[in-house]
Amino acid sequence: MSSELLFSIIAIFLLAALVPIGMVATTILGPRSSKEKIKNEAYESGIKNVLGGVDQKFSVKFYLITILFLIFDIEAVFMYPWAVNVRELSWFGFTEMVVFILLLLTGLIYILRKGVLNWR
Amino acid sequence: MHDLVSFLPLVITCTGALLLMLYAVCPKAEQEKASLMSMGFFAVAFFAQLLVVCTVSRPLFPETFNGMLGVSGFTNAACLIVYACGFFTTLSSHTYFRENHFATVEFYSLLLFSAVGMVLLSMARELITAFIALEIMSLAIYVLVGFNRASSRSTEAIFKYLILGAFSGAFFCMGTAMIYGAAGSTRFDSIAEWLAFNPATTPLMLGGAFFLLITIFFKISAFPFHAWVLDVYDGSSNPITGFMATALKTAVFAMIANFLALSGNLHDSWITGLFWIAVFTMFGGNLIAIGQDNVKRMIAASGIVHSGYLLIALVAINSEYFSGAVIAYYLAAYSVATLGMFAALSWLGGEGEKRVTFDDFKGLAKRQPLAAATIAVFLLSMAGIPPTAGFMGKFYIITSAISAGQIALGVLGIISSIISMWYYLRLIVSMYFHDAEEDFIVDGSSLASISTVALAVAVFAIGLFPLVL
Repeated sequence: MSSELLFSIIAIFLLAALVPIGMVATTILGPRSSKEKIKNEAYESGIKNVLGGVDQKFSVKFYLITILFLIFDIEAVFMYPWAVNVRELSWFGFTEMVVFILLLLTGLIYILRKGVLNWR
Repeated sequence: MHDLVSFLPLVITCTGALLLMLYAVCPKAEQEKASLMSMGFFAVAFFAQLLVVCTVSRPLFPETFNGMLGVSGFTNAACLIVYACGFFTTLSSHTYFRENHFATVEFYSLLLFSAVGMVLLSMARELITAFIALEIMSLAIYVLVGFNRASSRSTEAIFKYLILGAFSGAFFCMGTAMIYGAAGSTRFDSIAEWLAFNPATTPLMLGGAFFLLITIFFKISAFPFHAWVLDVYDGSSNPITGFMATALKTAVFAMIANFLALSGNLHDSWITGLFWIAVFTMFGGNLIAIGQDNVKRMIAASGIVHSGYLLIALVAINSEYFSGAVIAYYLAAYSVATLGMFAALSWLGGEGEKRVTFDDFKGLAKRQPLAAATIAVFLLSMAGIPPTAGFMGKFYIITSAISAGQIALGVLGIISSIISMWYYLRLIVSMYFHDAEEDFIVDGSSLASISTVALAVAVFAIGLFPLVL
């Protein structure tokens, strides 16, 4: 076995061990408030009581919007490098990009007509 | 531009999928028309592929799209199988959704999309492309598995499949990264060049190939990763189960055969592992299948066994007697029989898939002699009885294993094939040697019945003309 592999395995085990050690150490070493119990809770952006049910239901719309955002986000990611190299890629690159945009446009038409973007 | 000629079938399928997606949002869209349209797209794609195969005797451009995709005789055969599977799946879906009302136009669009992914996967000559193709295929299949949202069994199936499938997809990425770390490229030909001068047993290469094989074994339901098959096949609708069992397996086997065939070095380092996985897959699948009372679950388990036979061919892949034709032939033979089984189940299953156990098919031969005869043909082909395609497929696989010096594996394959008679013959016995308990009123003029008969004929046709492929 090569030494780099050995080192990486040791590193993985050390990292795995560090997480529980850190968790236990903070509970022992960290300052505690004995008067107000709420101060010992994990800080959650100023919200006092975060302990709701974990099986709370969210509207599926949130997920849809997120997924749609990701798709068009990725579209922009692909367009930047193309825009930088548009002269070198010339008409070939342009055609490829048009095909790509058209494919996404089909998807956009589909979701528009399905009413995914209507927030009712 | 020349690239596009050999990819014409793929372009047709992709356009078809997009058009059906747009059709889905038309106010007057009907799923029955959509099924006819998707039948048309699969048929046109199949004949376009056939045209490409026949007119181009030798692939003109073995490396296309900058070496990302490649065309060979083997991939052409795999693509033909995928398109044919898609066509017959649409035929059975057409009938199936007359009695089960949860289909929408998107169902057929997703079917075409998954076929696009499968064709890309079988052509992939680069690991990232293979991963993208794998995901196009899998994402469409996930949705198709869980299409019946009202059924809790279907929901259970998609949940299990999605979680495990996403997990195995992550392994594929990890494997790709490690192989890139070792060989400095994700392209098959560059990896092969690197392997020609370096041993395949360096930690990175070994680990990378190990992770890739985990994903592949998951997708083809080989031994340690086969547990999901029964529940997922059982929970999804009959036509989709048939499509998953055949087209998906064909595409993944085409990919892994392309990958393992790239270097004898790589293949040699995995031969012992593949040997044991093939053995365990065959016998594990057999043991599971013997205990099943449900026809769908029995076919799912027998799919595991058939993966085992195909793994035998993979073990023999680099011997001088091997050509991709053995795998392609067996995949065709297996696909025809399994697809036929599920077409028959779509035809006879009834509303809400009420006929699923062995007992439900008691006395079928007296009421529906044609249906019983076709099912018997498919089962005999899967068992490997001589005049059928299944026999020729097993014959080729076992001869190739023996010529490659894997005599033990060949013998074990034969033993497993004998064990598998037990559960195939059980269904035949219950169809022919019991009295009918119900009338089996089914639509004899439905498209699924036509496709069942066509596939039964194909079983003999492929068996009698073994040299076509």
